Amino acid sequence: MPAKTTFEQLLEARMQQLASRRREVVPAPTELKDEVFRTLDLLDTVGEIGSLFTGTLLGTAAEFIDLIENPEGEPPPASANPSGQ
Amino acid sequence: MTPASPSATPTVPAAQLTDRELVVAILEGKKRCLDELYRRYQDRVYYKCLGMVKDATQAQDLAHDVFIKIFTNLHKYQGKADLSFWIYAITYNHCISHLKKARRLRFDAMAESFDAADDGAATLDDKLLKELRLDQLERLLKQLRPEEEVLLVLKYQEAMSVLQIANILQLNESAVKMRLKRARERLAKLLNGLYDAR
Repeated sequence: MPAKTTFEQLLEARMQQLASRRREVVPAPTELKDEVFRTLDLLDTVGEIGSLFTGTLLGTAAEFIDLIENPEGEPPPASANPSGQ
Repeated sequence: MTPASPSATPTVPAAQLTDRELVVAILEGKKRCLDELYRRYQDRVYYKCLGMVKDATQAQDLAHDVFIKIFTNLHKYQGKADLSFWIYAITYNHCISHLKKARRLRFDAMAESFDAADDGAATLDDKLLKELRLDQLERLLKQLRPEEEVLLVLKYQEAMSVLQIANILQLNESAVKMRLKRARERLAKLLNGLYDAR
């Protein structure tokens, strides 16, 4: 990987400062959590997904999500497990 | 993805679990751990959405949908990448899809000739960037094409690799390198113009 130029290093620092400032200026919405968990409850209740964690809700993202950890499209191992156990 | 053995996450408080242990616990059915996962990422997801759409209401709607996607696809997380990257990839992919649908973002086909030498940035006086105020930088970024700004955000704000960006934008690596180079050159040009005008 080529080394970063000074310009790139500075740009990285400044853009990260910009992101930090955004957090200071705009408060995070307090009602977001309630909305998220209400939607999850609703999805569970109406049975759109039998189990919250086995469905393919919002399927448009499904293929992309499969590719995040497998950019080359290789199939996941049968015992894929985030704990590495 | 399958959960680990039931003993993998005993009675440890959710706040003390690592991200990966937390995912395992959720997949084992410990739904209280969803709260902890949400708590860890709520601000980061929301502010990434806000950075992309620049509108608090839209950012809230997008963050909501991102969390639903995250929670309903947790079984697909394999633990190969950090959970944070997995979550950010979903966040940016969702925001980019939204911007494309709203016709605020388009990655047109470009000639793929690419000169690895970053001569555009080399002509810039680094001192200018150092002296630049944050509000000036924000204004300059807004003058870029939205897709150029997105590339710079992913590369320099998120410190993502070219491969990771290519994966999120669903472009090939050389296309990402070329677009990044052009985005840097455009920014350098705008920056020089700002100081020339003084």
